[in-house]
Amino acid sequence: MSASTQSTATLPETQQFPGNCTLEMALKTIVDVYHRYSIREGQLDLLNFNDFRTLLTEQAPTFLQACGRNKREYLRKLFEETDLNKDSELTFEEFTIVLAKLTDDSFLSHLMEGEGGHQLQQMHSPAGAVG
Amino acid sequence: MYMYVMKMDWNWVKQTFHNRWRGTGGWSGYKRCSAWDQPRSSLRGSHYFVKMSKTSQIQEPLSELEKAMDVIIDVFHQYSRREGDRDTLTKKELKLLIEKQLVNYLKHVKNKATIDEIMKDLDINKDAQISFCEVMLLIVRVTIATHEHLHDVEDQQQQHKHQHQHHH
Repeated sequence: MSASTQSTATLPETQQFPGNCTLEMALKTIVDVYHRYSIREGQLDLLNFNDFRTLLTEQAPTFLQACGRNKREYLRKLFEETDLNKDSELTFEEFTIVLAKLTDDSFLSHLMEGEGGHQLQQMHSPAGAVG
Repeated sequence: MYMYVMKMDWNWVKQTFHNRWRGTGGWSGYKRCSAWDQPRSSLRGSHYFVKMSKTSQIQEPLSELEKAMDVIIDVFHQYSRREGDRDTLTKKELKLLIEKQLVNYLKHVKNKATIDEIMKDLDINKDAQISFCEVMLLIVRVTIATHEHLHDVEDQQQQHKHQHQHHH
């Protein structure tokens, strides 16, 4: 192991990738989570529809519950849309499309929570659009 | 392996996000809140947030994936709130984020793009600010590289083990 010659003020610097930085560790976690589900059925590194459905149900329940996404047809459609080469399996690259949707959803809900309670009241109108 | 990242068809990624993001339910399901379609201020008035906030009142422990996504969002905010708009990154904030949080990734990239080039690449609507949607392009790129790297490391370890066995 090579000794690091520079030092950052806050984080210990490592020569390995992914490293100890908060963000890189989070990304490694995402890769680990993906693999935990991709190894279950079929090819070890690919998500088939069942793996995909289990992953989302266990790891992203909030995303699925919001706006009626927990219907089976939604998941089926999402899978088909994400499966770009139509081989009924998702590679990690294809999975990142869904990951980006999840993260952006999460971000928007954070934005919402950050605004405080009074904004909620203003928005209370019959939400007929979705269901 | 990192050459893979640079060779990756970046236009594919951008296009894919633009097209796929507007697809199923997630975006077309509630027409008012696509982050790609509308100016940010209108997002706060959408019905989408009413539903999301109701759901988030359920006190369930976060899954690992949700925790990881929260980290991404927190890290983004740590840097976005420093200057100007609290929810977007200026070039300076982007530089800080990359240098502090993606330091190990950058070390391994052979053809390092400059911050200017990265900024130009990410700033799709050319407003000199990087929104969360836009920074996700970079996050995704790094995540894919992480995935590839971990497989490479695993393959190397397998080969190593194989060689040791032959020696006996």
